[in-house]
Amino acid sequence: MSDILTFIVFILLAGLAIGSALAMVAQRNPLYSAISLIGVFGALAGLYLTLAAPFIAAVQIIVYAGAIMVLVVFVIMLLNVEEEVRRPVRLRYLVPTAVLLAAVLFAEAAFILFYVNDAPAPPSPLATAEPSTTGLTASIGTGLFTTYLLPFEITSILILMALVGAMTLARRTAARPQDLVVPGAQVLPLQMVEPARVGDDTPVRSDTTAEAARTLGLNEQEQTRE
Amino acid sequence: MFLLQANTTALFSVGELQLLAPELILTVCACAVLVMEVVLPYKRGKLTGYFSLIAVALAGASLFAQWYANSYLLPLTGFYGMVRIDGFAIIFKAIFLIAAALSIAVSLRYLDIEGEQRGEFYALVLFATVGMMMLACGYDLIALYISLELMALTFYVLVAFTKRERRSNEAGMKYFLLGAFSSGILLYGMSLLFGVAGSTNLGDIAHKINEVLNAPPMLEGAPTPLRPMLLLGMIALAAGLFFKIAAVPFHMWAPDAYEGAPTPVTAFLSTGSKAASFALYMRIFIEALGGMRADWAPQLGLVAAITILVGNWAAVTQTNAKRLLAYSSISNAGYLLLGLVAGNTYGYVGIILYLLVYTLMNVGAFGVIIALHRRGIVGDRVDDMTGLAQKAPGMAAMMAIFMLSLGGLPLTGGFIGKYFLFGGLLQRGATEQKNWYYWLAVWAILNTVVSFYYYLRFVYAMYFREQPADNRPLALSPALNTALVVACIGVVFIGIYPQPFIHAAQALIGALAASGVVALR
Repeated sequence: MSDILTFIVFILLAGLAIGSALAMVAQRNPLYSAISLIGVFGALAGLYLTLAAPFIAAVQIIVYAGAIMVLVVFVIMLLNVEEEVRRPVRLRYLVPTAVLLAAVLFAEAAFILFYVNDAPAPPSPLATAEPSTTGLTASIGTGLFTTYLLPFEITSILILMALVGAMTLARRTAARPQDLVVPGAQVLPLQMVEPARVGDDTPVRSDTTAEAARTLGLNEQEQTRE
Repeated sequence: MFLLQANTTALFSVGELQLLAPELILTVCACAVLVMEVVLPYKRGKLTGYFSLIAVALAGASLFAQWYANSYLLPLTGFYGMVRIDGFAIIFKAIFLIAAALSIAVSLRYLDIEGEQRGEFYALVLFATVGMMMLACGYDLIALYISLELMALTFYVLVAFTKRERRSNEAGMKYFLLGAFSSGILLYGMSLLFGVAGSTNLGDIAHKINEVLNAPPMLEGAPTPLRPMLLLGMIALAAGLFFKIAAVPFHMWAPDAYEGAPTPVTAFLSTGSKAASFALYMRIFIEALGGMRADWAPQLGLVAAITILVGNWAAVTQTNAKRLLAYSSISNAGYLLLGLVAGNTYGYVGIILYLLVYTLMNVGAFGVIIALHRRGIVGDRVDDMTGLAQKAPGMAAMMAIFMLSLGGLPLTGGFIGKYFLFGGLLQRGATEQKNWYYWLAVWAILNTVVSFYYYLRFVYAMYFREQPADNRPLALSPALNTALVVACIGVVFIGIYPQPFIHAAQALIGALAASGVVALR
């Protein structure tokens, strides 16, 4: 009985996920696409629940459907994205290639499914006397702070590094004084426009940043921190 | 305190932290660099660079202490089997630290010229080094993958570090997109491996794979049922890793990324990142997939042969020095793969020695290119070398040595490395009685001859071409000079007196070769 119930829930959730995914791709308005994506995430969370993984389901809702989607919607609003205009497909020959590759992928998946089905099934977790604790919040917490402590800590370095990197790349830098902004054109090096205003570019032999900054023409205000 | 009492199982013993002492030192110092960058004024920005050099030296000292104190206890494992400190890990970590130190030394001047003397650069280099070192000692797919991402993400940022340079931005974008894609393929391979083995620990995976391969067939003549999945995982893993080491056909990113990136980053990317990816390749393919050697060795041999061919012949037509060295780096990845194809002590010693020498000579070559770099003049064409012999005889001599060593001339370190790589191949051919090993060695040697053509173009430009009008002095700095001299002495020393390095490599890598043999049986 419960098997049939699980199956019905699975079909419902899977249908919702696939339907939302199709809607996401088909929508022309990016905002509707984003909202459809929330539907996909929600349905997936439900599927995780049926797989007895409540923690991942909660994370799915909190992180994906919550935080990330808010970000996506925010970006769409900020960029003021218009409705997509249909343009002719530029790389026409890619379409049959894509179809072919997709077919190969499907064949591959089917092959593995049927092939591996012949293999002796691993002992089902249901067969063991004790119910499995995998996927429960407690077991995930224990694993995270014992077995997987080291990857957890490396991840923290990774996130710190990602923050620093994002700041580095996104920080606005002032145009150098030797760059001249020509209205309506790109930034040109001053050297190209007015060579006379640039001093001798013979590099200094000393090894101090201060002197190099002087040679580069970075003035004092520029050197102070932003 | 209450928490500790409430939980009866201790998370880990504090003593285990000493396994990761070098990494911890680097991480702490990288964070300190970030603070220094905020506190110090721009003019003092270079102090962070010197501090990073000290950090690398400290990490090196602690690595040496680790090896010296535990040389008879190796391998050490810890953190629930996530970390395995053996000779392999120690020798690779030493190579990463050398690459990091040299790259920081050559970047001090470069960043001044670019007006980008910022502490984040050095912090990112240190973080990347931490990632590489964790790659060398990780013994679990999860730890390895996260370490790989730590290294790769850092490099995406570093490649795009000079934001005002259009080429740098473009290179960063290309490298990021392709890198993320290859990372996904790698992860797919790892997941298939996990699906077969039911564990992410490399040792467990090796056991399980041997079980799967040696399982009696259920039907007469039918292959082992899990074998296709295993093969697919192996191929996906190899494809992801081929990208990281820039082997053909996954090399397209390398020329663009190398050319566009700031030159010190190119130096670090082509040495440190490549060495780390090789460490990962060896860990996974020798220790976890060692039992499948018969499956992956021919595939690897084919990729190595194509890589050597494409790398060398594409380099011939290049005029940009960084691009040329990028193709040279691709072909060198091919040579290094030969050591894995050989899969014996000779080959492994060859990989270690060649990676060490390659680090020295490649950072050295890029260092000379940095010395030519001036404001407004990028100085990275081969023609920019014209007349260097008159302008800076010492610099020209060192560049000539680096180039001849890259080609593999006897009495330079490059020759010793190639000798072991090719020798390992011949030895394997003799023991396995298979001809293709010999042909592969002959193929590699023939292509090495081609490589001399483009390496000697630098020498020709420096010594024999007419001197151009541009006679202004080079942008040198004590740190850059020291790094170049150290690299040059290292290359020549290993070339003339390689015995201590060979013995050290044999002693440290021996366990790995033995484990490969065990897996073969």
